[in-house]
Amino acid sequence: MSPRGDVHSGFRGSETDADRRHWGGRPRHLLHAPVIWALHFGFVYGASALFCAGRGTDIETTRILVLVASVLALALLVATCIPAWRLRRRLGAETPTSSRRERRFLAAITLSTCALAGFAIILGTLPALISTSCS
Amino acid sequence: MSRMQAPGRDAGREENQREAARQLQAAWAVPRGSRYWTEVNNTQIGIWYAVVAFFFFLFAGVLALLMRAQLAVPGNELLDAGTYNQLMTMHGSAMMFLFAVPILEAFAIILLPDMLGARDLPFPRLSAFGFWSFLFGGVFVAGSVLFDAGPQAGWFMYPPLTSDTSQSGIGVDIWLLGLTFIEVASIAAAIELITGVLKSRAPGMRLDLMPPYAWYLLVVGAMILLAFPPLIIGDLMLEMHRAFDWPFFDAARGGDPLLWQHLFWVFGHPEVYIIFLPAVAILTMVVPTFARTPLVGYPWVVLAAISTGFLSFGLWVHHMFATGLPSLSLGLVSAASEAVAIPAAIQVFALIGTVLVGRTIRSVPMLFAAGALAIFVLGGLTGVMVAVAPFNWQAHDTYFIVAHLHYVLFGGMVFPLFAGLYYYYPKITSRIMSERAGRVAFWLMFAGFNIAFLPMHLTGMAGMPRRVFTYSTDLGLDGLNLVSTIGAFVLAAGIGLVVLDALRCLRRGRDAGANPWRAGTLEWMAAMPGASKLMRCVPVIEGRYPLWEQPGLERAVARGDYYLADAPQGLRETLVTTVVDAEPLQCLRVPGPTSLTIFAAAAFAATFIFATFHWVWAAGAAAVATLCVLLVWLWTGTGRIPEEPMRDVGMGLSLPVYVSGPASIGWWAMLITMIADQSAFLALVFSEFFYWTVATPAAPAPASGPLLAGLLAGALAWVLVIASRHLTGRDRPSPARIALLAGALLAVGCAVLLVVSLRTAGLDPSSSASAAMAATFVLWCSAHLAIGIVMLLFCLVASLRGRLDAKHDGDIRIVLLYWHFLAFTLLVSGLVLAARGAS
Repeated sequence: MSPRGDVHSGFRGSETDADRRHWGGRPRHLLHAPVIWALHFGFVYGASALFCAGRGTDIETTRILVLVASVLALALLVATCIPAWRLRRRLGAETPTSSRRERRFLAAITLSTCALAGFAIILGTLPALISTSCS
Repeated sequence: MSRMQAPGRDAGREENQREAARQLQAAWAVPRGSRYWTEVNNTQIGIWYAVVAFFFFLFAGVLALLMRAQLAVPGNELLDAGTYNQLMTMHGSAMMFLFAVPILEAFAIILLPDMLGARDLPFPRLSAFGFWSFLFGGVFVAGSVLFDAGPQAGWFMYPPLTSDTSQSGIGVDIWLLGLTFIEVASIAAAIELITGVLKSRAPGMRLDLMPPYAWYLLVVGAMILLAFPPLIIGDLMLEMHRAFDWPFFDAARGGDPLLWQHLFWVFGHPEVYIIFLPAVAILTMVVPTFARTPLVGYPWVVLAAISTGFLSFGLWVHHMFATGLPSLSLGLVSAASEAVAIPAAIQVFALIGTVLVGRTIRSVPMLFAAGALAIFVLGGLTGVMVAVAPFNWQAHDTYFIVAHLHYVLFGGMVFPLFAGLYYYYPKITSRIMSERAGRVAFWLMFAGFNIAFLPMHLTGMAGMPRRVFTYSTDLGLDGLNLVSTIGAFVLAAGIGLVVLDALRCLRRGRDAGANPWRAGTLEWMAAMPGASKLMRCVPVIEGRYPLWEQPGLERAVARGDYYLADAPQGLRETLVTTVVDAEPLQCLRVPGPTSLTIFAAAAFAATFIFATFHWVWAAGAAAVATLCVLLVWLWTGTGRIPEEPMRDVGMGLSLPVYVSGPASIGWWAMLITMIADQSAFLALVFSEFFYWTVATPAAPAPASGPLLAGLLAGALAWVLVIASRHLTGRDRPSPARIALLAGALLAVGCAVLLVVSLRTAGLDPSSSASAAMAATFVLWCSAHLAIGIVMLLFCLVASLRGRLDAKHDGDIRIVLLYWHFLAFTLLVSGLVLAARGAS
């Protein structure tokens, strides 16, 4: 293989700046699902510690708070997923370039982290649904 | 597409190439004689790091053998209880802090530069500083056992045993301060790894083309940033409790020993994954090579690495199932503990799938990889068992847990590490270790491990408690314990055989050649001839396995056809590329050998060691010495204005030598450091809220007048730093300097006023845990303000000496980034302290 003299001008492929900014295919989107999961986890843990131990023992309040937080967290996950899903489909329909493959890869990882975080959030909600008392 | 002239036709060109190669060898030559130890190149540092960490492994292993000898028969009198406790504490602490984390970081800094196609990672001096800190701190902590002064309270150091100085001796101080020091070194390594993976990949190595190893190390670096700082906060709180009687963990004065368990395990559980992930990362490099096929499910493995990373932070409470937490909390953590089995399983299946898809070749590294999977899966299964709270209560504090954690750690870390040792030994020494000795060693280790630890499941279920120096024959577990002891010695024999073979093969091993395993990743590319093992030039990457997928790549690299094929100024250089697309961005001058890092680590170590003995003045003097060395280091080694702004890196591309802001690696390093800093701060805020939830008596509030005035001064200082950065950008040096000076003065005022707000309210930190928390917030802000002031004065001097102008504003932009975080810290601290007054 001979290196190409023009290779360093070709890293972006045919991608425009608008493509590069496109929602759903950037590395920071990989952080969305983990952050949503962490906020949800922290909230549920804090709510249990506050309303089921420290300052009261009210399972109903805790249950409602946890449910609201879970619905909100799942909605945020869906909001992260939709653009990633669209980007993945759009890029899949175009001629693959190294740049598009990378965006598609990042969108796919974003989707799968959302799926796993969603599963973990549902799992984390179950104790609040099942428990009948705080003790 | 223009093709370059075919090589070898032009004699003049050949001579140029030879000259360029000579320049590179000279620039990267390792110093000789006593100056050898001043080398900072990551590959060299990594080898020292790995050797020292492995030595600590053997040391901690000998401690384990002594413990097993003691437990061989009931009522044994080989060791007394105190000695046994020291051995047990040091075994766990050394294996975790002095072996597992450091050796995996060592592997990473040896391998990553070559794997990513970089000449070096961006901060070699930081790695050298980390290594020397680790060496000094490690010898100090591990050596305490030899003087009968070792910590005795277990590697988890639970108060109130450890907060009571009459019941626990200096060993606890050694543990708290010595290991805090080593944690700082680990964070330094994390900064290097993250910046390295994000900013120094070969051109074209996009995120989806990175070796899986790099993905893993990126995740691990982020985990270190988030997990280690809470422990550092815990360590400092416990040490303040011991040294100055600030009653954070004293229930009688509103403290709570459980807070320590939270801070310890929010570090301690991610820690398990911090050592598991880089070890599995080694397997993701080893297995595809011998399966002769790319890793199956690369995106799934990346997903697994990322999700293990974040889920692992939701598991810490499963170490506290027996502390009487509300059942809802137990359920939540139990659920997260089971969820983490999913990404773990994905990784195991990806490795098995790779073996199934490929045409697998038998080899010693693959033997260790297979052993690792078998053991890890067993440890994972018992992990799911102990994640279930009711079972956990049964198994808590028994040998079942000892068996579980050793299965996880041997399968998830030790066996993969040995696979990596056999696999990468030829890369480092150019020799191959003995196949036959390797097989014998593997079977000794595998059999010995299972003989030692499988029976512990049974002894644990039968009620044998852990952390005891002896047991009664009435338990009826004499036979199983003896079997465990025999197994431990068989395991040790296997490890001993590996060590002997590794030493023997340094000289007598078979010559390996450049790529003995015919691997496809970049680290196996043939180095250029010469003493320093250097890549001839930095290639353009187009696939995940460049040596398999880019035919002719090695020849083109050997000809020097790509980037940075020369070193006309005799300086060490590497390419900095963009985070996502790996486009070349900067030609970075990498610092060369220096003794400054050794001095800095020694002075820093002295600070902690003196503090251990409560020699306050000596510790203060050592801290000032550390600051001085760091300032010399920064002044001589960073932010220098190059004589030529651009450098021709080859292939018709010229790159800037000096860049600032987010394009520069220094800015990224500051961002990453401040994420760790904020994680520590979050641990402080968590502690404040923790005391609030356990409803301690009314929290004393600082005086609101000085508090508000102090915060206002801090905010003004921040605005002035912003102004100074913009004035520098418009080339108006005089007002910029005035803003810097005024900012520094206001910052002094802010710190003084914060202290005054405590004094005015008559707040005595030793009176209650809550008062101690208020004092800690003020101390935290003041320390950060002090660092911020030093930074502003540094920029002021740089400006006066003509090193800071509109084109060369790197320093001020980095300092401004620090100040953004400082302003946030001040704001949150102010809110927390003001909220006490309101409630």
